[in-house]
Amino acid sequence: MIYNYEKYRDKREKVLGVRKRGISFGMMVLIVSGVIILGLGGLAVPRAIAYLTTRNLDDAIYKMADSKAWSQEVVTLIANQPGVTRALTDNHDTRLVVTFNRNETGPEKFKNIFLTRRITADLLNRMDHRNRMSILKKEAEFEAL
Amino acid sequence: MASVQVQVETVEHLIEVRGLQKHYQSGDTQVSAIKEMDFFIDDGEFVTIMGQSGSGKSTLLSIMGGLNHPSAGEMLVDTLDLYRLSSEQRADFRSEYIGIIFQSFQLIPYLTVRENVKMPMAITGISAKKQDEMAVAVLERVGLSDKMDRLPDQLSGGEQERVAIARAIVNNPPILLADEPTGNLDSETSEEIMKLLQELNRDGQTVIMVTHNPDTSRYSKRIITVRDGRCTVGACAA
Repeated sequence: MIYNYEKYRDKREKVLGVRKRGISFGMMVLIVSGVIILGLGGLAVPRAIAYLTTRNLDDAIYKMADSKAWSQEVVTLIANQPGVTRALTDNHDTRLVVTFNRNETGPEKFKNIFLTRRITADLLNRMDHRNRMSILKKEAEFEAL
Repeated sequence: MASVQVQVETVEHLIEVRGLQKHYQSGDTQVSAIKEMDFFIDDGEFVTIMGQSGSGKSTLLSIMGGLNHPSAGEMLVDTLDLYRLSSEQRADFRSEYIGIIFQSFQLIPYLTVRENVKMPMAITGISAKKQDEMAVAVLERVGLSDKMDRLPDQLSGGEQERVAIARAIVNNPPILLADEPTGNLDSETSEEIMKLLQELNRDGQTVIMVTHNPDTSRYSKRIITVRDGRCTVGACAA
């Protein structure tokens, strides 16, 4: 009789551990560890990314000398400068907040742009971007009470 | 990997026994239960291992079932060298390949027939519902569908033997080992049990039966005679 090696392959592989019956303890530990690591990663990674992307950012807050509204053209011009992350005006368009990378640009360069445009603007404040965001958040919470 | 070490590629039969020996110490005396045995069993055979009491046939059966380490030699089943497998792999081997019918039935007295039959499936990971379905199917096959919820001592000897057979085949093992399956039964019941084993063999199960009763050996296709720890020349297939 010719022996058929394939007939009991399934059983043979189960015995040899090639084919597992259910999930092994090791695999279960791996899955549980993976879930915990992913969960912790999900909490930690966004914070780390946020820290890395904002650590060199400062905010400069300007106001026109005569309290005029900022024109959209100037806002766009400032926003398009190298090293500037964004430029936004407040609700009344009287204050301009420029967020920039302090290693690449700064208020001196903005001042020159204002001068070429004959705009007299006062630098009201310059502060760390994250500090400002934190203050804004606290203010929003306070106003909500 | 373990599979490389424990698999033998040069086998031609489902079961191959090569140079098998089993010695043990009894006081100061060394007893040779199996002196030297070489034989094979093909898939789908019904083989009787015959021999007198103390000839080594039950020892041989226990070695074939992965229950008893030989002193020397190889016990190959489906290319697997049983005694090179780890104990965990050997437990899996018994679960996957072997069904054993004992002479004294070895049923658990406080469990019902159905629960006794479900016992071998306890470690297989099969769902409870599926286990129940399989137990019912196999009890129907051995003709005990109306006695599934009885306790073993509420059954006759022949019925208890049928429960033992049902328990042995419930995992659908390719090899059925029977140690004196009719030793405790009257001749009429013995014949019924032998016909049931024959039927299982016809359905593809390899049956290996140990007996000293020549009457029961007539149901098998081949006889291996064991005498004083050796297979007698000519009786072993070659």
